Amino acid sequence: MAEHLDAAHRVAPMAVPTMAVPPSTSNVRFGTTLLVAGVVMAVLLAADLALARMDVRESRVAAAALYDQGRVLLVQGKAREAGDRFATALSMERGNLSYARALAQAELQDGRAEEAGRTLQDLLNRAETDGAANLLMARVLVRERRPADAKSYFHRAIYGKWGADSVSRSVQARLELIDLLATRHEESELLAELLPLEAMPNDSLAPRRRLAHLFIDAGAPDRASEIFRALLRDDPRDADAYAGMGEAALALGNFHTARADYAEAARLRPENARIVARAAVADTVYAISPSVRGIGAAVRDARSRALLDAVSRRIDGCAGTWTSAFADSAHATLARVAPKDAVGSADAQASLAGELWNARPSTCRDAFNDDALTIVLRHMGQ
Amino acid sequence: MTVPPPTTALAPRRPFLLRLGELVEDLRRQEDRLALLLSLVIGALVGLVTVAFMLLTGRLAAHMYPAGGDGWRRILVPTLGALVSGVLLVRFFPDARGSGIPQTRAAIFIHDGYISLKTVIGKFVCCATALGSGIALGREGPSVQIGAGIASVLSRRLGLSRAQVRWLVPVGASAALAAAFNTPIAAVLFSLEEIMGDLHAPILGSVVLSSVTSWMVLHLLLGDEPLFHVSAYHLVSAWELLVYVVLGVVGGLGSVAFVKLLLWLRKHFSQLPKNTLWVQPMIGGLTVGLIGFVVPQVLGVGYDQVDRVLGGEVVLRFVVLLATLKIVATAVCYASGNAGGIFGPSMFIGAMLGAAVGRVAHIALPGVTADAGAYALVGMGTAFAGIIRTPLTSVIMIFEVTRDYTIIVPLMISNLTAFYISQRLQHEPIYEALARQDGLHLPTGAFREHARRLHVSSAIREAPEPLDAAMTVRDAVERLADTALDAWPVQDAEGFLGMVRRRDVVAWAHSGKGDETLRALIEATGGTITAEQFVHVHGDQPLGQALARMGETHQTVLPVVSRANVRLLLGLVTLPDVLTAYGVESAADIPHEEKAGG
Repeated sequence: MAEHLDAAHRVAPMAVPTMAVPPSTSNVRFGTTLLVAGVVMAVLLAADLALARMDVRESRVAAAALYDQGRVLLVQGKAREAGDRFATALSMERGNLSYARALAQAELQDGRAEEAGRTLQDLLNRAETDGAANLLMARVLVRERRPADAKSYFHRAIYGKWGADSVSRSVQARLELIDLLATRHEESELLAELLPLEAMPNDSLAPRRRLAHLFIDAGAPDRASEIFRALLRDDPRDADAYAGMGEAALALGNFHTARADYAEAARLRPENARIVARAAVADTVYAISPSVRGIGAAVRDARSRALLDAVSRRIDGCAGTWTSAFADSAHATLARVAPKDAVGSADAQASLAGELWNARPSTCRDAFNDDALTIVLRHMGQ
Repeated sequence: MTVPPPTTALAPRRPFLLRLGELVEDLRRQEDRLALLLSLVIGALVGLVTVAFMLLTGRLAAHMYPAGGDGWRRILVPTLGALVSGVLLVRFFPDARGSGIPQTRAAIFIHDGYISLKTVIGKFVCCATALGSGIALGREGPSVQIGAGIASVLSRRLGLSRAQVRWLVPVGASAALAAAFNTPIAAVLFSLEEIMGDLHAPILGSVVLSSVTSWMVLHLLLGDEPLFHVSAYHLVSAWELLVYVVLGVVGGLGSVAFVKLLLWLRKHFSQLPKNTLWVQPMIGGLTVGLIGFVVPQVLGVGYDQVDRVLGGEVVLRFVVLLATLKIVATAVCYASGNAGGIFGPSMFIGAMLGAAVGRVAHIALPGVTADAGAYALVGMGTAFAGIIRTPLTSVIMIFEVTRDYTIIVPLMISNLTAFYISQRLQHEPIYEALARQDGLHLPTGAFREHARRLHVSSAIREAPEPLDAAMTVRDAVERLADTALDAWPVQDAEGFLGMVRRRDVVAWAHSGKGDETLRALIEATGGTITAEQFVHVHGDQPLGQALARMGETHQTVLPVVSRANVRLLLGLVTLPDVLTAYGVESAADIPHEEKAGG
């Protein structure tokens, strides 16, 4: 049957003329035409190549000029105009990553984070390890309140390709990530980012001081203390280093040392209001902390009781926002350690104060501002 | 003296020219090889010319409008450019006006594929001048005519027949579009869908080959740079499809407005005195210059602006303004007789309309809609489907531009909506309307649709009782004495066997073969179904094919058999029945034969 059908199809030729050349055409004419077509193609190819080369060359020159204009405008704060120049330059030379980066930067600076994101996505599709592009993308995502995604791009930027001056630019990217982590109080990740920086040689003061303070934020005050100590070895009259030492001591619970360090800092720079204020806090901490050495059992007991009273007052102050279960539990606990049942139990009272502080709900956090009481309670709660 | 030993006899060397001649002779006689060679040559040649055309136009525009150039250039340059091209068109190249698509179709359907070399050169020069000076028209339509013209010139110089030249013109057109738009598949579809009007045209192989060759030339010379740089978009929510329907409506209405304005203006321009023909393009140039003085983005084809909008750089008021001004500028430029196409402007208008719809949707429904750039992308296809009326080409074209499959569904929805609205509000497609304004009556879509709908089944008649294969020729003469049919079916125990022609039966009876059976007669005349030349049709075949087969075999009656079993006779189709189905009054109607026993 199949052969019948095949036969049927052969009988039904399409209405297409046969492609064979009519016999009336001479071989010479046929061959010559093909030869001429070949020559014309060769000439056209040469012309096209020359034109394409000229096109690329002229486009590159024009694009570079626009890029330079854009850089100037960007420095002048005219991000929109700069973006226009960069966009035109990029349309002339699509493969130029610098133009794409500059465009994204201008868009970001102009508040057009979404457009900057798209520009960067295109760029990263072509060069996914580009450090600068990844850093810009991270900034876009921070602007768009997507910190988790931003962290990923920060890491790509840190370990990406930077070209010239790659170490310092990579460190810059890491510092931006550190700022993000510090803002979000993500201590363990923060510490993980700080440790590589600590290992790097650094002679300038400001970054070392900043690094030390960040170690305090990351919950590693002992590392901070070491850095400040090293700074003091270089300059024994460095008030900021003393203040840093005091802050690290406060975090470590060495309130006596903290008080002494802040006192020295205030002595060296009495005009610095922040140092003076923190010195006063250190004094208060020293005065109210039940864990200070050499204060005797009675004083310790009194300070513990005062601390517990202070915590309970704060709790009462924000009871309206406290969850009912936690409030009931806290008041029951307070009743169990009433003075008549727990006289002399200073450690228990101090410990309880610390536990209550640790267990405070987020809605009650405003009741415990960063003052002396908080420093003492944080220490109690550790 | 010793006689040297005889050496091995060498075959006499034939002269190089003789061997070359044989090679050429061999080539020109082998149909497949020649078709392959011509497709490759046309593809490469057209690709090279199209790249040169694009580069020259781009360079010219860059020099006409240097960065930071004065504003007055934007008025003066297009005006002078249009004036120069207008003079050239009137004095030297009268056939190079307009876009090039209707002219290419006219060449195929009216002039046997003839496009002169002069027209090709004129199109190249005039379009490069006009487009380089900022006239708001596109380069793709002219490229199509240039490509088609090159195919026409080459095939004529090769000494091919008129029919062959006619079939090679779309091959050149396809190659040109593949290079101009960087979309080889869409180019193939466009050539078949719009130029030929038949997606099943048998030149598909050559069209594909030339398109791919041309595209390769483009890539070799200019690299792998897409026409537009598009971010990866995706459908945010299924509800978004409704917004794409709205985009289809807006795109459809915009397309209709553009087409109607263009046709209306062109009609009025054509009524101006003939001696103003050379100055008319300048009116278009001046109009676009004045618009471009205020809004420079309207000048030229505007792909840079489209690229920006696709990248999401969308300011609502500005894109609406651009869409409106581009519609006006392009309509005036085209209607006034400038050389240039409407492909590019269609894409521009669509992108701006799409961006506007997308922006509004994103403001109103930010959670369920993609960025405006995605709508600009779909909008391009929408306007293309609405203006050019090639929905399939437009879908594939945008798919090729984006290389992103996820955009396909919204694109199809939007395109079909725009196509439907455009079809309802502007009955005649733009290229057909333009051709009609020029007094050309090319095959229309409606005609093709009517022809396509006519199948053999629409002309089939009931078969008479077949004669038995064992019947003698003498008996058959008596049986067929009163019939008006020229041929009669014959069957055996297994079913339909073939047709016997009355004149063969009579001839055998008169030549002393009256006692032979009909089986012997059918086998002797090659009419049995086991023979290679068994003539028949199927019910679902186009009626035109039945007509063609009657012409080839000189038979006025054909058997209609089942595709599943060719020995099952379904009926007959006769020449008068075919003519009646086509609406032709036939003077020789054949009365229906009564079935024996029926």
